[in-house]
Amino acid sequence: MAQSIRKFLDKKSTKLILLAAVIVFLVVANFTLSTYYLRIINLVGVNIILVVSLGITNGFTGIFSLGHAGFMAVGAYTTALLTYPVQRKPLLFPNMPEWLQTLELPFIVALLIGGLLAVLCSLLIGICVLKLHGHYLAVSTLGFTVIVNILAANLTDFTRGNSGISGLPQFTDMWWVYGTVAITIYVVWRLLNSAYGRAMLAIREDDLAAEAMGVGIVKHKLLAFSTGAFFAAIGGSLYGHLVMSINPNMFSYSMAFGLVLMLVIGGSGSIAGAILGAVLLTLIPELFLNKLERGIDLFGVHLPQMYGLSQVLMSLALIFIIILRPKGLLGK
Amino acid sequence: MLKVENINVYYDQIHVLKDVSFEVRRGELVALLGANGAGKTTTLRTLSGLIRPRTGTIRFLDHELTRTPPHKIVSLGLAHSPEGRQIFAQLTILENLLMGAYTRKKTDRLQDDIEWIYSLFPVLKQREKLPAGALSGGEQQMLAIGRALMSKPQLLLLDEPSLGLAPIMVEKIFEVIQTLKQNDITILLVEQNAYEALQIADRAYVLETGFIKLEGKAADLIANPEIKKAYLGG
Amino acid sequence: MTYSAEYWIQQFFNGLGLGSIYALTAIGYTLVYGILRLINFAHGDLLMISAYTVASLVGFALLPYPVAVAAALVFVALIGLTIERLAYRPLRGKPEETTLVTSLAVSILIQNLALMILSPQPRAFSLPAFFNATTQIGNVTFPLINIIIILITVVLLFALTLMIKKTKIGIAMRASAENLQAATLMGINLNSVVRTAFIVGSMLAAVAGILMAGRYGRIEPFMGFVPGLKAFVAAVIGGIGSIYGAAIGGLILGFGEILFVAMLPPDLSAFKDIFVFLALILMLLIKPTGLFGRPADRRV
Repeated sequence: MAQSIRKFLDKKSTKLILLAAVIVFLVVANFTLSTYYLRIINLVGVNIILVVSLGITNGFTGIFSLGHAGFMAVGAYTTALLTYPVQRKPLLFPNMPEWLQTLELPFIVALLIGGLLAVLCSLLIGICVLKLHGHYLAVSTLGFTVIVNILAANLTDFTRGNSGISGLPQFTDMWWVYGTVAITIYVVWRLLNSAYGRAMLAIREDDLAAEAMGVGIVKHKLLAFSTGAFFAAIGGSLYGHLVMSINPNMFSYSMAFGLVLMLVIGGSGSIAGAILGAVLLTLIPELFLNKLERGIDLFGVHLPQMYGLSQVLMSLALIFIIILRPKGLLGK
Repeated sequence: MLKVENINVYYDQIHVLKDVSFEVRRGELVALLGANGAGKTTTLRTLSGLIRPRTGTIRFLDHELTRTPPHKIVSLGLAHSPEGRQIFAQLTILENLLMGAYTRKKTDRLQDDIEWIYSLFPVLKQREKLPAGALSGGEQQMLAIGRALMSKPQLLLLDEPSLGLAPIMVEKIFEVIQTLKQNDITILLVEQNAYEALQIADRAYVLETGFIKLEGKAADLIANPEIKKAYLGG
Repeated sequence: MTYSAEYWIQQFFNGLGLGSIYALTAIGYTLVYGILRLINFAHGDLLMISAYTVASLVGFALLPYPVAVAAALVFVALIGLTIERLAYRPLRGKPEETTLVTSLAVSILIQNLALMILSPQPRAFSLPAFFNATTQIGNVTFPLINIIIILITVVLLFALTLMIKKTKIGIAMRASAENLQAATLMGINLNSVVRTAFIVGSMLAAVAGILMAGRYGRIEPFMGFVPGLKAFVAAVIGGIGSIYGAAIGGLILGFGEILFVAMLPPDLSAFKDIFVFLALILMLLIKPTGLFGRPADRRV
C-alpha cells in the first residue's frame, strides 16, 4: 500500500494540488482558528523543519546524529538573547556583559546568527566525530547535546540556568513558520537531487565504496551535518519564540529522541516520510495524548494523571514499527 | 550419510548455488573442487546452517538440516572447519579445543580426545596455554581441524585447509587428513588444490559458477583431460 | 588552594568508590556490545530500577535488606532478559541504525514508565545504618560506604573473572564476542550466550544501582541516565569488548570526576559531566578501540 501512496505522491499534479490545498488551508486557518489550534499548526510546522533537516544527516547520509537538540538549543538561546527587549534585559540578566545587554536585533538577523553559530559548532564537532560510525557516532553526538544542556544549565549569567528565559517576544507566526518550512523543503530537495545528494546516498550505503569512487567523505558528511544543524537552529529559534520561554530541559535527550522518533516512524528515506512523521507525531500527542496525561474522563471513567504516558506510548509505537516495518511508514 | 538435493542458495538477489546435488557416504573422503567464487565455501556454510537454501533439501543421518538451527547441526554430528581457519585468537589453544567440544554432553573422554589431537599435532601441545593468535598459519589450520574434531563428528567439513600455507605445511595437512580417513572419519573436503585433493579422495565433484559440472571417482577425474587442463595445470 | 593530605586521601577513596560504581555498570555494556555489537541504552536505567525495588521492598513491604537486595537482583535480571527478548532479539542481524533507535526507545520507555508509576520527586534512600558509619585510621576519617563499595566490586570482579575463564559458558561468551560465526560452528547457542551476558550485566548494574543510591542518599526516576552514559563512556575508554577495560575505564572516569571537582573552584564543578564527554570524544579520536580494545573488526 505504501507503494501506491508513493506513486500517487510522486505525480507532479498530485504535488501541486496538495501544495495548493495546504496553502489554502493555512490561510483560512490563520484567520479562523483559535490561538490554541494555531499554536498546534505552528508546532507542526516547526517539527517539519526539524525532522526534514534531521533527515539530511540521519536519513540520507546515514549519520546517526542525536545532536539535533543541541543545535536547536544553540539557535534558541542565541535568538532569545539577541532579541530580548533591552528594557527588561538588565533585570533578567544582571551579570551579562554590557554590549550584550544593550543589544536588540531584528528577528531575522538573530535567526541567521543563530543558524551560523550552529553551523560553526557542527563543523567543529563534525571534524571530531564524523569519522565514527553507528553506535559510537550516536553517543558522541548525544554527548554534544548533553554538553550544550550542561552549559545552558550552568552559564547562568547568560542563560538563567535551569529556570530558563521566559517572556520571549512572540515573533513566530504562521508566515515565519511555513515560510521557513517551504525554504527548508526546497533546500533539502535541491540538495538531494544534486551531485552532493547522490554522494550522500552513496555514503549511506557504503562509505568505503564511496570513498573508493572518489567521493570526499569528510566534505560531504560535514555538508550534510552542517546543513542539518543550520535548520535545526532555525527550528529551535522558531520554537522558542512560539512557546515564548526556553529552558535547558526542552533541548535534551528526550527532544533528540523525539525527533528521531518522528523521522523513523515517518520513513527516514524521504522528505515525504519526514513530513508525515512530523505531522502525525505532533498532532497525536498534542491533540490526544497530552490530554490523556493530564487525566481526563473517558467514557465516564476518570483517568488519573500519568505524566510520561505520551512518551511511553510513542516509544512503544516506535519499537513496533521498527520491528514490523523498519523503513517507516513511507519508507522505500 | 549426507544427501543434498537440488539446493538453490542466494546472497540477496545473487543466485550462488544452482540446483546443486551431491552425497557423501559413510567412510568416504569426498572432494568438492572448483575455482575461486564457484560456490564451494557457500556450499559448506549452507550445510552448517549459516545460510539457508531457498529450495532443496539436505538430509544428514535422517535429519533435515534446512530446518535445523546451526548450533543443533553441530550436535547432530556435523563439524565444520571454516575457510580462513577462524580460530579464536584471544583464547588459548586449549580453550579453542574445549570450545570445539562444546556440544558434548559426556565430558569423561575429553582429556583422551585432547591427547589424541595433540598426537596428531604435537606443536599444539607445546603451545597449549598460549593465545591461538600467536600461532603461524599452518599451526592455526591444525588447531582449526583439531577443534572441529573435538566434537567427535560423524562428518567433517574442511574448507580449503591448504589455503595460504607453505608447501611443507600443505603436505603435512594432507597427511593428517589421510590419517583421519584411516580413522574412519567421513570427510567432505573443499579445496582449490585439486591435485592433492584428488590424490587422497574417493570421489569428487567439480563446482563451476554454482553448478555441479562434473562428478565421479577421484581416479577417473585425475585422468580426465578437461580437469587436467582446467585445474591440474594441463 | 591547598588541601591537607587527609583531604586527598579521602578524595582518593571517593574516586575509587565512584569509579567502582561506573566499573560495575560499564561491564554490562561491554558484555552485551562485545557479543551483539549493540549499545543497550536502557542499561543505565537498570540502576534506577534496582534502587527503587530495594527502596520499595524495604520501605513498604518491610522486608529485610538482604532479601530486598536479592529480590532486586533477580528482578533486574528478569527485566534485562525481557528487554533482550522483546526488543533486541527480533532485530538480530538487522542494520546498526535499527538496533540503535530501538535501544534508545527502550531507554525512554523505561524512564517514562518509571515517571508514570513513581513520583518525579526524588526520594530518600538509605542503606542499613552501618553502611553510613565512618571509620578512623590515624587522623583520617573515611566514610565506610566507599570502602564497602570497593570491596564488593573487587569480589564481584573476581567472581566474574573466574566465570569467564573457567566456566563453559564463560569461555563461550569470549568466543562469541570474538567471532560469532565460528562460535556458532562450535555448536554454541547464541541465545544462551546472549542471555547469560544480559543476566550477568544486569545483575552487576543492579548492585551498582543500590550502591549508588546508598552513596548519594536519594533516588529519582532519571537517576540512571547520566551515570549510564558515563559508564558507557568508561566502557569505550577501556576498550569495548574488554571486561578489564570496562573496569579500568570506570575507575579512570570515577577518579577523573572526583579530581576534577576537587581541583577546580566550586562554581565550576557543575561542568564535570562535560569533561566526561570530552574525554570520550578525545579517546575516540586518538584510539577508537580504547585502552584495551581489540583492533576494530567489521563484522562479517
